[in-house]
Amino acid sequence: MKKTILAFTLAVIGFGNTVYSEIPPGEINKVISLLSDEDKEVRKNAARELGNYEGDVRVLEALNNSWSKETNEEVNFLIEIALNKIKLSDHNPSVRKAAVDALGDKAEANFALEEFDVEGASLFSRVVLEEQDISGILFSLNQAFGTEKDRKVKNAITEAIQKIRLLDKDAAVRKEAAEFLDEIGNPDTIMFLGRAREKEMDAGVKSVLEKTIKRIEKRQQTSTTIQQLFNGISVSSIYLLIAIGLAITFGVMGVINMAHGEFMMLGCYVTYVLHLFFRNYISESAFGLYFVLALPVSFILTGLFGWLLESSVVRLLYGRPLDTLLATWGVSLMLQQFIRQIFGANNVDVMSPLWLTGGVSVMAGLQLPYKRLFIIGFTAAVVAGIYFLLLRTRLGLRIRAVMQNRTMSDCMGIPVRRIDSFTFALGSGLAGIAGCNISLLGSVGPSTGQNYIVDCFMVVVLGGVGKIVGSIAGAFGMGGTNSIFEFFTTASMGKVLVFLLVIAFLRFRPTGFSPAKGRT
Amino acid sequence: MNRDIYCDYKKSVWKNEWTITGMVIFVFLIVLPLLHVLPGEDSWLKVSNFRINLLGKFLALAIVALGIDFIWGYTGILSLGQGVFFGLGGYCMAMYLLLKVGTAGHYESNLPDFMVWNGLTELPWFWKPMYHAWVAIPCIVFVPALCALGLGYLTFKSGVGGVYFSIVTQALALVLSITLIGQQPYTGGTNGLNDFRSIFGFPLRGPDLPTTQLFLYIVTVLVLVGAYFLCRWIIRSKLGRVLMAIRDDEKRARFSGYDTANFKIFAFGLAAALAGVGGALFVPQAEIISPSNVGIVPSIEMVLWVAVGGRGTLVGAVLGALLVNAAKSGLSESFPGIWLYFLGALFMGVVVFFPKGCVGFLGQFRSPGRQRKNTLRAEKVSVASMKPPLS
Amino acid sequence: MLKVDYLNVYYGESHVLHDVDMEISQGQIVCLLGRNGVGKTTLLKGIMGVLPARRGKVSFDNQEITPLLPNRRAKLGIGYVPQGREIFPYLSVHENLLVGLESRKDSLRTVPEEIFELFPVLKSMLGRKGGDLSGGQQQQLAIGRALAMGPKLLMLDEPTEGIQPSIILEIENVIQRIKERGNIAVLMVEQYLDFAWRIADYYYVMAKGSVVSHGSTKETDIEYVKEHITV
Repeated sequence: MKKTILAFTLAVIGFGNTVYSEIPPGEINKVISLLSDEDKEVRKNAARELGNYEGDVRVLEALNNSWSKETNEEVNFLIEIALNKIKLSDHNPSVRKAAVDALGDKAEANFALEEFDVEGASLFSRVVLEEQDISGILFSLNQAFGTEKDRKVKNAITEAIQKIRLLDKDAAVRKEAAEFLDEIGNPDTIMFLGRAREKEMDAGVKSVLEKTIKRIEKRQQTSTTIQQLFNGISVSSIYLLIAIGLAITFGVMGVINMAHGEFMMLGCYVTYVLHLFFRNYISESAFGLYFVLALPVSFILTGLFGWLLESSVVRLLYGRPLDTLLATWGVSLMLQQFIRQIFGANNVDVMSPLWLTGGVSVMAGLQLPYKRLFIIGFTAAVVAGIYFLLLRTRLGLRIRAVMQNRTMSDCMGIPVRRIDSFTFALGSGLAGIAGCNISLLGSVGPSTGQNYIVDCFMVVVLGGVGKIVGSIAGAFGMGGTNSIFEFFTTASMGKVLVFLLVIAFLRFRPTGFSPAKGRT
Repeated sequence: MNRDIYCDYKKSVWKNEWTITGMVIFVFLIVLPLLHVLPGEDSWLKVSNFRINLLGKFLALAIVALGIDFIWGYTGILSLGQGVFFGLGGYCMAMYLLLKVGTAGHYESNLPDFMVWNGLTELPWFWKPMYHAWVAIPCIVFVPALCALGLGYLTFKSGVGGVYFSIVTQALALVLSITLIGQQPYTGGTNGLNDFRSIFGFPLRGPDLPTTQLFLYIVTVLVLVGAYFLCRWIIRSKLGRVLMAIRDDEKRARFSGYDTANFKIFAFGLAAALAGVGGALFVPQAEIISPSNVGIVPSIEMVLWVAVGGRGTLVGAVLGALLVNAAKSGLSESFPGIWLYFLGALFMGVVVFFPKGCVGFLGQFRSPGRQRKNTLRAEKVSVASMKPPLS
Repeated sequence: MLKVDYLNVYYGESHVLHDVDMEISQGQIVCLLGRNGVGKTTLLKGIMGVLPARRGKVSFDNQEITPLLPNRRAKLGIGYVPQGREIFPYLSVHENLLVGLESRKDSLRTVPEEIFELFPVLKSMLGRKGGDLSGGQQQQLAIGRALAMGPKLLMLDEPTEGIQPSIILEIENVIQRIKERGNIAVLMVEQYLDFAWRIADYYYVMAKGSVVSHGSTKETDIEYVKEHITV
């Protein structure tokens, strides 16, 4: 098929050459001056002529100038074509590609439906490509195709040529163009094809267009599904990352740290401060490293803070989980206010490191951002790390023993209070590291913690006591249902429905996802 | 509460209870209104319109606090979603008041202004019954109570309690405020419901407003007194003793043959009904109800009132609601930055150092016998005896 | 070695132990007898530190341990097998035994072979979850776990309760071997009087939260004790 396109292209080049003749260089100035002629037909022709002068700065300047001054839509349309034609020989491939796309889209003008006002007059003065403009564009595109080296631009040129060819008078040519476009199958062309379909008279061409549109629509559906699925996983992993610290503390000590969200927010701000520091004092090439540093720093800082909270307040409230809830809520209020006073009430933006911008293109129109992939991967690593700690180390054995039977662990010589302190610090540190990750996703503010925390509490409730598996199931349950409901209803309705589901779930499994205790 | 303490309590404190209660009621119901009406404008004894209105609002909130004390102080259930029930009652009242505006609104439409503004052309179905006072007033009690009974049934019957329950109710508060904000055409969104004109014929704007406010104040005092005696009666009945048994050791209460879930559902429902009534009395006095009255933060603030006043004593709940709100209206207006620190510190301080609140703190000085018992009760139990909930 | 002086323990508000005195010397096997609800288990918990002493004191190896938390007492060498075994249901048998090593001073990280000599059944079940074992096996695991601590005093709360006779025999054997070795003292709450009398050197009888009688098992008529403890 590539060969056919090439053969066809060569044919058109031959055809194009017969239409255009070179203008002697001395006349450039004259043509430029014609751009400000009073007669719009003269101006139009001048624009057409100038499109053939590539590489002349004066021409580009003149066209740009008159484009901004010009009031007539038809003339402006032609100036745009001329500008893009000239840009086809730009040295920057992305400029060339934009010019190609712009030229291809000009064909759309001929497909636009006329809109009329109440009196039946046309609402817009309709600008259409005339015969000579079509062949002019085709000529330029074909020429560009011959010299183009960049694969992406080359593909774009092929597509643009076929788009223009859909304007041909000959139904056979149109059908051929439609088949080419079908083969390319670019989802971005779906609007264009839709318009072409509306205007198309020939049944054969119409059916080809119809088929293409259907196929693209189907592909788009698949890509939205994948996108939605990916979003679900991504949101779930964020929930999990935040909730896992809570779940461990809850499992060991039976208390919920209401300031967990604020610890997470502290993690965000640690990242923010480091990012500022690197931006202002460290060379630009090392900027991306700030995030690598932020992960351990936020973990350690919030961990220390958690340790402090545990040994100063939570310790005094042993055996009173509800009071712990209230006291830690007090801490959360103070932390929020503290951050608000230092950094202001407005959200701040953390610039993501360069190595996390962009994403993986899975298929046309579907890109998975590196940031989200990083968070998913990071969460997986954290979960694996925690499993290792719990199942493979002596400390983990102690923690599990305390989770299962506090009194007996104490009687066996396990320093229960030290385990509590450690667990609380670990849980808090995990909140901080979660905050570090969250700052990748957008701006953060003093109330960032509040936005996530209730959902994460629900994850812990769903997960049940003392089982990490439960939290994983809970996180994916919450994240999954959240993105499903948000897809079908609004975000607020989604939240309500998820909450009702959680309540209903608790009705049947009051201990959450983790199994009830066995015989003891 | 242990039985000998209970008896002790009964003998030493409640002997004077009637006189003290009577005096307090006398002050709030007779003295303050008289001081409002009689002295001249510039007399130092004069209780201004502003103060009467403020006090009326605080007393309405004290009704909510009574409910919280009933479930938390006496039954041991911490609900972090009482703002929801407060809001349900308040919104019912506000809907009624708004419908009474009739065509006198800004847009001169049958619909409340915000609906016109949001492009509604017809009254939503759930607004329609609120035209009638005889629907709206029962709704104030029953809508929150039924919601609470439903939620209580789903959670308590399946054994969800303790920290779990607190978190679930907190999520409920979040869900309600999200819904109220999200469904703006039906609920007024972030702005909530406001701009009422009159209540039962009394104007809520214009020169006669102080009379209405005095009237509302007196009604609030009466309802609060009623609620107080209702709670007191229940607590001192056999039912109340079962509730306290559940608070102290739910397992043991269950083994003694009580279906503790039913008792907890009842307590939760009653607390919700009280919150609804409080909300309904608050709305005409504050002249607004909005999602910021029902969300997570206001809900947990309500718990603080009781914590500060002293959980497990009805007087404490009322006292706490008055104190904290007075502090709030003083501090948050003059130092908005400080208020949140203060609130946070209050939470920590009260819970850590004065778990019995003001009443418990004052009570320590009054009777040395009780103090000794209290310290005995507070004796540290080994960490090891702590058990996670739901085990 | 263990000395309990005027120990008073409360459960919340209720006064359970009244001025209890008790003394156990090294390697001695002592049984604690009495009807249900007289405070035998409470006394063990008081010695272990699970319940705090309100008055009185507990000394171990001439050191007062009354203010210490259970895990400190465990480190000093008190091993405790509570009523109902209380093994860790989700830990494997091996892990349960490893928890027993937590309190050892010699930082041994593997389960000593002698545990498996005493309870061969545990060796064949190392990978099983503690909660999946039968009652008798759990009891053996609980005793094994306490022995892994290398205790100087082993406290057993009703080791034969609800256990099949063959395993009772095995447990009796184990206690007998401990006795022969003479380096571990045993304090045993027991309802099964004949069993207790066969092993113990000394007995204490409790009633209503106090010690009402004690003496050597060799010098006391079993019938005399029976009177105290039968209903």
